[in-house]
Amino acid sequence: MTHTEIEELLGAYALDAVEPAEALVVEEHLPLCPRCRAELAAHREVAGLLGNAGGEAPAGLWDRISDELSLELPSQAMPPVLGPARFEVSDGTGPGNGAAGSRAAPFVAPMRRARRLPAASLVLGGLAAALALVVGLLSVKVSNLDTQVTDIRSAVATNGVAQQAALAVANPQHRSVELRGTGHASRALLVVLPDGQAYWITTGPMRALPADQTYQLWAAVAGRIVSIGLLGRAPSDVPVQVTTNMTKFMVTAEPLGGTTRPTSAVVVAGSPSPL
Amino acid sequence: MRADLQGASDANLVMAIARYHEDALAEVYRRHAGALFGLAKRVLWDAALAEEVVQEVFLRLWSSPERFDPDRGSLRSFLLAQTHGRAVDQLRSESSRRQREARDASTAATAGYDLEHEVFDLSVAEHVRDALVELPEGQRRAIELAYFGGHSYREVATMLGEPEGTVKSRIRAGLGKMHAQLAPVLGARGDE
Repeated sequence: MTHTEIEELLGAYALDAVEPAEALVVEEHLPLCPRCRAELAAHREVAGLLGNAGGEAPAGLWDRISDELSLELPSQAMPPVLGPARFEVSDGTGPGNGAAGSRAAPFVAPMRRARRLPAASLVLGGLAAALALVVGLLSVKVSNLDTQVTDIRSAVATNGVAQQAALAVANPQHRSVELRGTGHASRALLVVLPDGQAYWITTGPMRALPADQTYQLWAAVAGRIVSIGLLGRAPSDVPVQVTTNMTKFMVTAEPLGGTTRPTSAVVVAGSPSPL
Repeated sequence: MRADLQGASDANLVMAIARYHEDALAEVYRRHAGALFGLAKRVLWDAALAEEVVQEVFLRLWSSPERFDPDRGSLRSFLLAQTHGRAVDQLRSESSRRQREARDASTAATAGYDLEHEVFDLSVAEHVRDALVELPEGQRRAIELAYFGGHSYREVATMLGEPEGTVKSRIRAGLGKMHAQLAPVLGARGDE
């Protein structure tokens, strides 16, 4: 897409009125272009005024939110800096990990996401952690896009794959990308190892698709959307290959066999944390 | 604690949320949840779905408060943008396709009316309405259908029988004009 074509999309993008693939192209471009960022900020200001309607929040909503917060509270204090260790692996048979308890693989329990504190609180500890992360990433192999695997076979959720995925989570060098959907129930993790080997791990319920459809995983690379592979109609743990220049991941439901570009609404999406 | 928070700026509340102060999130809720719910309901036409969206926006603020950058706009605008995005995602998800079909015709008919009667802050509402009304008809319709109807510009093009490129340009040009028109309002707005 040319710069002019991207510019033309900015108004519709500010109103959330572009197709998912177009949104990804815009999001890829924005960090590189101050002019488009400024234009989008202006459009968003207008959208903010249009949407600023009044009204009262329904009774009981806060209580429901508050209940969810207590579920999310960490069981132990988390260090206030970004770090790779965001997940704990236990050998228990925890709830909600897809397949009906027959798996020997460890249960992977997502802990609360580590967060960056506001600038004032970012001290040397944070810088050191960030540096360590950068050093770790320098060793990540960047494979050629041409060798990008575009048609990895559908997941065969064998114990072997589940075990490898669990090992990847336990590997201190992994990075994880959280993918979330509209109802916040749908969610998944992409656990990425330094060599580009990655594992899709379904961490929330994903609706099983009809037999003639499959979930397909996509990534944004330099303004283009590439297929990373098919996840099957009811994915649990699926091995995939990724590269460090992928800035956003998303999943759509597609006809069996996959497509060359996304043709339906995004089911879950997520971006790697900024360094 | 609550008394202190009531006087705190939105930016300070977000700092407190980053330190896991639930009271601060409750205060943000008190200030903004009504507006967020209003927008979500406006787009979704379904109170239960709208509640779900608002809940998700607050949980997201709780888990990733650093996503709000006070240098780039008010907390209200940030939360409204999040709410609109989630609401549109909901609309486009399969489960609500049916409701959407049912509501399409009425959205087109009432968009202007609703804007006039629902915008919260009356003095700002007047400016926003004026700016919208002064747009050429094609630009105004495209913006209303996209923003309040939750339609993509391609769907708007189909609905209006216009080429996609025309609709895309009209939305962009219309927003640009409104921004120029609303500059005094935008400049005068504080943190709230």
